[in-house]
Amino acid sequence: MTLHKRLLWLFGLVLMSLRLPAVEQVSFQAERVEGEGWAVQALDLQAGVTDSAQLRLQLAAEALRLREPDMKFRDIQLQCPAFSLFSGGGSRCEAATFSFAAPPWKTARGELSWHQAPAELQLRVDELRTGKGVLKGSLSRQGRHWQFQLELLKLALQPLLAWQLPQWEGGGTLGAEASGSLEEQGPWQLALKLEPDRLQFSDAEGLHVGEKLKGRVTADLSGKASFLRGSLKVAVHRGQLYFDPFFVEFDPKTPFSAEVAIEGEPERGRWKLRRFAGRYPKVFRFSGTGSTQNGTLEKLALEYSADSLERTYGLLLQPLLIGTALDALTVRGGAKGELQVEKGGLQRFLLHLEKVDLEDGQAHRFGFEGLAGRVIWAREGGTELSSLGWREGHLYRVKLGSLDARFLASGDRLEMKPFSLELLSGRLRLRDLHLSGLLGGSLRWQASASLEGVRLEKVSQALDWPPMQGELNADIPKVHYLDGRLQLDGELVVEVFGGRVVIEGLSVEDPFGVAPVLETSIRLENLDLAQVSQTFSFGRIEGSLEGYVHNLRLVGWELAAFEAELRSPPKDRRRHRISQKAIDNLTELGNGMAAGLSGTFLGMFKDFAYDRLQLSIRLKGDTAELDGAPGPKGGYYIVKGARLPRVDVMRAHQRGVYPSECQAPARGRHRTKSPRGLEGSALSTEADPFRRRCRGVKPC
Amino acid sequence: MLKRSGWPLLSLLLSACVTINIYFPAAAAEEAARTIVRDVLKGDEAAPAQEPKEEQKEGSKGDEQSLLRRQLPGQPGVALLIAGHLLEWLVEPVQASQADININTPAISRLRKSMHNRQRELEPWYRKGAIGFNESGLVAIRDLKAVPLKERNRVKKLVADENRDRNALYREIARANGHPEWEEDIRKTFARIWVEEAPRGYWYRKGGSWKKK
Repeated sequence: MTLHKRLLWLFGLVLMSLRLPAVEQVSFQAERVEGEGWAVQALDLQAGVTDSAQLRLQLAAEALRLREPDMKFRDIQLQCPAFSLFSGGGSRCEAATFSFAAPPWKTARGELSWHQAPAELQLRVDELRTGKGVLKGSLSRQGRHWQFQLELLKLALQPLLAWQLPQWEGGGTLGAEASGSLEEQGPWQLALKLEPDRLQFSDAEGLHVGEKLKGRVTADLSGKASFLRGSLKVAVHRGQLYFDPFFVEFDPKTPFSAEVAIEGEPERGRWKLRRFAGRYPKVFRFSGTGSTQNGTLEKLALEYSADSLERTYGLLLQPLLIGTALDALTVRGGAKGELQVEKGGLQRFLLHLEKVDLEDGQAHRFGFEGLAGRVIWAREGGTELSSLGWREGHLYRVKLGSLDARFLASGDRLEMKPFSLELLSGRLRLRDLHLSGLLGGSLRWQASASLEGVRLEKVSQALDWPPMQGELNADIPKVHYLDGRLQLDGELVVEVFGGRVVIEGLSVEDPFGVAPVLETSIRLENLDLAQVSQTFSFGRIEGSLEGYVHNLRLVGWELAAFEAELRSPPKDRRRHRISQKAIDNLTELGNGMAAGLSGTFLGMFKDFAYDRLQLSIRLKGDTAELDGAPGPKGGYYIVKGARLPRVDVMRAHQRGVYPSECQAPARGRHRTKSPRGLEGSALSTEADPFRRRCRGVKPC
Repeated sequence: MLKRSGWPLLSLLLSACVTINIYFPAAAAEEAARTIVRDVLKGDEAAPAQEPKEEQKEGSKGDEQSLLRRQLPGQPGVALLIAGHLLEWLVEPVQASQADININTPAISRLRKSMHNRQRELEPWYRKGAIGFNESGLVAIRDLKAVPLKERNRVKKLVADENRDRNALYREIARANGHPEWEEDIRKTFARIWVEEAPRGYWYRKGGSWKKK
C-alpha cells in the first residue's frame, strides 16, 4: 500500500468517527506507521469541524522515511483548513500550509492544494520557500495521463552540493523551469531550463573549477518504453572555467554555446549523437555525429574550424604543450579539419591550414610564414598524400626558403617524399625521411640529406661570423633524431679558403632546449692562409694550414670545450710569409702581450719568412691549454722563423694554462689591455655579472 | 725497511689515485651549489656574486687531503710517513683541480641568468605555497588552488621552464667538470641546498610530504 493510500485510509478511520453524534474533534496518534517503502514516526493526525462546517485536517509527524529514493523528512507539518473526503474515494484540500525539513535544507515551507479522486489528481504548490529559493509547481493526472510544471527561483546551490557532492565546494544560485507529461506505460516528454548564476565549484585538488559562471542549459527530452530522444543546449555567458589544463574566461559578447541531439536506449547503455555542435565566436566551432556504448565512444565524426588560431592555440593547444618547445608560440591564421574516432581510438585526422604564420615567441628559435597545406593521417591503410609548405621560415637565424613537401602519414609512421628547399643561397635536399612514434613512445626520424652550393657568406651572416667566401657541399648518408638528439652520420665538406673543412660526427642534443649541446669534430685540409687571414683580419699570412678540432662542444651555442691543432703541412708548396701584424697577434695569443715589432728595426720589414706555424689549444672547463711546435728548454714555437731577418714566436717555458674566458683572440670577444710582461698580463672580459673576472694570468 | 714498507707504500699510492678519481667532491659541489642557489634566490635584489673559487679550492683541498691523512695513522715507518708527505706534495695540485667544481662556463652562466631572472616571477608563488622544492632538486606544484584560475597555466609554464633550466644546469655542471656521471650527485646536492637556502615561508617536499620552512 502506498503512503498516500495508507494515510487516506487513516483519514477515513478518523472521519468515520466524526460521523458519530457530538464528536467535533478526533485525533489519532501512532508511534510508527509503516508500509512498503516508507515509514512514519510519531504520527499525530487530527481532524475537526470548523465554524463554517468545513472539515479541518492537521497532520504532524516526527519523521517520514522513504526507501526509494532514500530520503528522510523531519518535522513534518500539514494543515488543511478545508478538507473534503469523497465517498467514492479521493480527497480535496484548498490552501493547505505545510513545512518540513529535509536534506539539504533546514526548513522548507509553503502552500499547496490538491484534488484527488480515482484516476484523477490536481496538486498545486503555490510557494515552497527554502532560504531565498522559491519553488512553484503543479502536478495533474487525468486517467493515465500525467502532467507537471515546475518553476524554481534563486535556489541556493551550496547546501545541494554539500549534500550530494561533499568532496566538492561550491555555491551560487539556480533558477529552473521544467514541464513534462507522461502516459502510464506510454510515452513521456520533459522540457527543462536551468539558469545557474554566479555558479562556483571546485573539486578537492582544484583541477576542475568554475567561478562566477552564468549560463543556461535547456533540454527537451522524450521517451517511449526504453527509447529516449532529445536535445540539450548549453550556453555560458560569463565567468571562468578551469578544467585542468584548460582555462577559459567567458565574455558576454561572445558566449560559448554547444548543443547535442541524442537518442538511445539507456537500459542498454547505447546512445547515438545524432548531431552535436559547439561554437565560440571568433575562436573555433565544431560539429559532428557519433555514438557511445556503455560510456565508451564507439564512433565519432567531427568537423572543426578555428577562425582565430591565436586564441585556439592559447585555449586548447598551449596548455597541452607546456614543457615542450612549442609552448610559447605566436600563431596567426585559421585552420579547419576533420576527426574520425572508432572503437575508442582516433582513426583519421585531417588538418587544413591556410595562410598561417607561426613564430616561437620565447627565443625566436624557429618561425614560418605562409604555412599552408592539407595534412591527413589514418591509423590504418592511409594512402592519401598530405601536403605542407611555407613561403619562408627560419631556424634560429638561418633563413629557410619556401617549401612544398608531400608525405604519407599512416599509423605510427610518416614517410616524406624527397623535397628540397632553398637554404643560405644553396639547397638542402632531403630523401628517405621516415618518422615514427606518432602513436606514442619516443618520436624518432631519420633521413639522408645533401647540401648543395650553400654560400658561406650567408652562413657567416646568419651566425654572426666574420664574412667568409666559399661553398658548402655535403652528402649526408644518414641524419637521425631520437630521444631529443639529432645525429649526422657522414661528413659535411666545406670547400673554403682554397681547401676543405670536413665536419664529422655532428650531433645536437635538445636542439630547441634552453642549452642545446652541439658536439662535432672538424678536420682542416690544405687551407690557404692568405685567404683565411684576409677573412679574419688577423694580419696577412701566406702558406697552407691543416689541422683538426676534436671534441668540439658548444653548449647554448657557446664554446664549452675543444682540442685543436693548427699547423703548416710538412711539405707545403705555398710561399711562407707572415706580416708584422700577424706576428703581433700570434704573440699576443701566446703570451697575452703584443710583440711591438714596429717599434724596432724590424719595423722596416713588411713581412717575414717562416718555416712553420703550429698552435694547439685545449679548452676544457674554464681553462685553455696552449702548445706549439717543440722548442728549446721545454718551450714551444707558435711561429718558427726562417731565413733572415728571422722572427720566432715562442714561449720559453712549458705549456700555458689560462682561464678560458681570457682567450680573447680565440673567442673574438675580448680584447687585451695593459700588457705587463711575459710572465703575466691582465686581461679583461666584458662586464657580465655572471662571469668571473679574469685575474692575472700565470702559466702553470 | 724499504722492503717492509714497499707494499704499504704501493697500497697508499694506489689508494691515493683511486681517491682522486672516484669520489665526488661533495664539499666543493656543495659550495658551488650554494653560490648558485643564493644568486638565483636573490632574484632582483642584487646581481650574482663572484664565485668564491679560492674558498672552494681551499675547502675541497682540505677535504681531499683529509682523505689522504686518514690513511696515514697506523702505517709503519718513518720512510712511509715521508713518502706520504712526498706523495701529498705531488698529488696536491692535481687534487686541487679535481676537487674544484667549475661553474664558470658560458652555458652555466646562461642558465643561472635565466633562473635568476625567472625568480622574481616565481617568488610570489613560493610564498603563497602554490609551488615548492621537491626531492629531485626541481620545483613542483604544491597547491594549485593557491593560484587564480587565470594564472595557473602561466605558473605551470614557469615551473616547466624552471625545471628545464635546472635539469640542464645539473647536467652541464657535471659535464663541464668532465664527469657526466656526477649529474645525479650534483642534483642531490642541489636538492638539499635549495631547501637549506630557501627563505622562511617557502615550502619543500621531503619523504613525500610538504613542509614549510
